Amino acid sequence: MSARLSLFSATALATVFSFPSCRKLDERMEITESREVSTYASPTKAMVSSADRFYEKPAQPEAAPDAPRENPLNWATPDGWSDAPPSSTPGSMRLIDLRFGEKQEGECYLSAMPGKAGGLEANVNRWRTQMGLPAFTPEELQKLPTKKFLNRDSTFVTFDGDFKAVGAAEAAKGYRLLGVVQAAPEFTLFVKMTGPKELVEKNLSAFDQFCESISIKH
Amino acid sequence: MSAPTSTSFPAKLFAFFSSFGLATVVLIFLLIITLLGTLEQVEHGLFDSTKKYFESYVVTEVDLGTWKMPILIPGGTLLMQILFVNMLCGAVIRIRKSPRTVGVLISHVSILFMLFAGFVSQHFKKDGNMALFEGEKSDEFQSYHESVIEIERLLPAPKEGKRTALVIDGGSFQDLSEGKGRTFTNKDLPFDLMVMNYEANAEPRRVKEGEKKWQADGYFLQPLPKKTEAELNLDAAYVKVIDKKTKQEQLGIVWRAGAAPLTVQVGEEQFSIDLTRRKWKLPFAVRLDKFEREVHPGTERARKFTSHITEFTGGREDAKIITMNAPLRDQGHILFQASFSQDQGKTGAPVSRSIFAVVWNPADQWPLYSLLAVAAGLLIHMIGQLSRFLKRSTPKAPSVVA
Repeated sequence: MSARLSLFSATALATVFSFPSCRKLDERMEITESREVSTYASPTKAMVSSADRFYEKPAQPEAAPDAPRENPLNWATPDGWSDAPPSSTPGSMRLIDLRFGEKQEGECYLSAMPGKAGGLEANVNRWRTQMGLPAFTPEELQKLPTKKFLNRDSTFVTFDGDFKAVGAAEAAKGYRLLGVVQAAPEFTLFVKMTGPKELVEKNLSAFDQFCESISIKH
Repeated sequence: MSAPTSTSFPAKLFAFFSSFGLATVVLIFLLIITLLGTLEQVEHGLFDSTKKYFESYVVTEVDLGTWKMPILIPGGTLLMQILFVNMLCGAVIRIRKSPRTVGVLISHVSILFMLFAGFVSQHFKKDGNMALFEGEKSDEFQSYHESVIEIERLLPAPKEGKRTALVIDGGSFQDLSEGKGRTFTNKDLPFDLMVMNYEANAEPRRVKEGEKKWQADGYFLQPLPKKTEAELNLDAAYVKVIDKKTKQEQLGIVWRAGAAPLTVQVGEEQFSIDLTRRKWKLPFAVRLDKFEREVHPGTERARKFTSHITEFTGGREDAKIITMNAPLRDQGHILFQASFSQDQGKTGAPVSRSIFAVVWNPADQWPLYSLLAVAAGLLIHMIGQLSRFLKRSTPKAPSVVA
């Protein structure tokens, strides 16, 4: 009796677990389904180029008078990093916007804001809030290390925590934020890098290389 | 004297499936998957968690982001099927049938009907949306989540303008992650279509000079992190069109957010290949005549959206209004006012677009009927119990001795 039950159980389990493997990946499959396209549907756009299909902007031969100004910075994009798609941060203050990682989950950008942009304390603590960390006291801020950036000493921060990007519903866990803040006389520059901790660690030298490569066009 | 116990295999099987112990185990597993599904929803979103825990037969891994563990527990579909069999055997077939148990029996049968309604919903329900600009007319709606690849012959143009498209279900290609491919074929097509390297969320990017990447027409697919809101993911895949006669190959990219489908020329014929959402036809057409949006004073917060529509059924035209909490119900389909958007019209002026949530569910009202029947059954049972209690507790009249 128990042998029969075991046989039954084994057959049932084998059926359950062998089911997904029935579908070989190199198999051929007949298309059997079809549908009638609505008479109200728009006509299909045929022979559209890949550039238009994928919304790539055509090259601008000459800047129009009201066109955005040329980027005032020079920089070198580290190996394995790439430009962020134009649609990723519409209307942002980012002068350089890069992505890295297998699924582009790492982000590094440079933004500029006029004047003091709220000051060092407000901006560093804004980043700490994004990482789910308590604000720094003025004493703690004074102890922050510096890095040479655009030939000036600039505040450098490293925070580990759960990163909640602007507008995100949930915080991404296990993230690291690297940031450089430089208060120039007329504007404040920020370089901010975020991503999963391991990924950021792997890209530390790339971050330094990127920061060192930035220069102002003359 | 106890009843003789049968030792036959079917009798033991029946005893197992009708046992209270099995019901308890099933309910405990339901509790566990509800807990895990709720926790995992935070990391992976509602849609993926629902599929993994509640629309599955087995769950093989718990993934709470920072904590992953392989497990093997039954999924919601399997548990509900076992619960159905358990209730059928234990609470309907095995239960003692007498006037006293009529109410309980009605309740049990109603709960079985509710489980059956869930099964019908899971397998046959269609839900999606329809977006219409003012003046636009449509008789189809598209799924929120289901992706398909559609192949339409463009040239030679279809006779009498009757367009048809071959449809490849998403379930047939969504397992084709990097390095995997499958060939789809149809006797009416002059080519075979190989779908490869499917990505749940990706973006086509131009290959830079000197970059060595697998590319189609100068573009490659950049995988992007999967978003927890499943609707925001834009899936994509590489496709290879293989001419059946010449064996010539054309490589292309299909991307669900593309401005137009991929067009291929095979011999004298031209086809479009599109990765898109599954579309279903309505038994009637709807034209949006006017859209009205009321906001709370001094804010942009919506107070009321109203769509003035015309419904076309056969040769009949009916002016109707769809507004919040007042959907249009017709021929099993329900159109709810979901949201709106403002886009630029052809002239550049802003044009309102009304978005309707559309549901077709043959079991739409069944849970309600089931609940009413459960309530009626319990009421019958409680009235019976009460009357028996009252009969028992009424003191007998003292007998008069002459």
